[in-house]
Amino acid sequence: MIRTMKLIAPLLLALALSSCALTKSQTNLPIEATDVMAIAPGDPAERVTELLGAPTEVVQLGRRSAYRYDFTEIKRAGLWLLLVGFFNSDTQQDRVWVFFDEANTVSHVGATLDGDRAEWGMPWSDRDEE
Amino acid sequence: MKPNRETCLPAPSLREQPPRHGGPALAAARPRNAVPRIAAACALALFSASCITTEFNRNREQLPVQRTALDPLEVGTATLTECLATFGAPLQVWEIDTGAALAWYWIDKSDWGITFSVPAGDAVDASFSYGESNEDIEGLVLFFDADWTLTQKRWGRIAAIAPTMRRPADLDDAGTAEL
Repeated sequence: MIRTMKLIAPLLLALALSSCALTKSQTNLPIEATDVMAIAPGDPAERVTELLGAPTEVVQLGRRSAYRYDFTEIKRAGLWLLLVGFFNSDTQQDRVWVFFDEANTVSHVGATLDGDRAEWGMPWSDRDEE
Repeated sequence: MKPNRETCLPAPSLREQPPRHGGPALAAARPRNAVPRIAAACALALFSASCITTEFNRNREQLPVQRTALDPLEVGTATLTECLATFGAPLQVWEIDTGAALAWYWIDKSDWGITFSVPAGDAVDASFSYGESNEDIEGLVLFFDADWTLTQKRWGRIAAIAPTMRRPADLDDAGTAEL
């Protein structure tokens, strides 16, 4: 019995390893913290687009507006074990909103720079910081 | 005389123990029968894998927001600057009357799914799938007036607390929105 298990165990291990997958996908380029910190209330919209480029979204707020910038990273892990598959996906973002007043100058800036915190893991595992 | 399993046992004390599961003859036969059984189980598993698919998926997006961070933000006095400093950049921004609503949320969704697929002919593939989901999109929405002062804070399921998405309001010459 032990000999049989010794023969089968490597086969099962090979089968399990051949059915593992890790992928990473990114949308847009990471946002540099230094670029965000260089934006200050009172700056014109041109200064913002000089630093961060074209926004991914523009929202009209009456006569005011807000620009959204984002970078998204998704890490996916999968494991197939013959009859059952386990899949995990973790999506994190660098995200910046710049709010403009009626004169189209910066009034507020909000930033979340978590794009590099996406993790590979299994569905039952917690994130490192949890 | 050819030695058998019984004579190879190292200690007499072991031989003196009463036989389990049918005695030495059956015990000697078990290893030989195990191989075809395991092979059959593997073959069955491989065969089943082609028609039964079971999946456990988990999807996480964004990091959770701490609800306790909402407590110091007082309606009527807290500003947009304070809210952005507390929660970072929102995921969505809406125009609401003369002000705006900002939403922060995260997703931690997991579900089991099972799919049966039976080829039933050249043109027919009978399949059936079942999935159980515990979708839970929680978050907060903060409402601001025209001066960017917090007017309302809501915590809960985003689908229930978020304002309805609408097109930007038309403005007349005086800058007043037609709502």
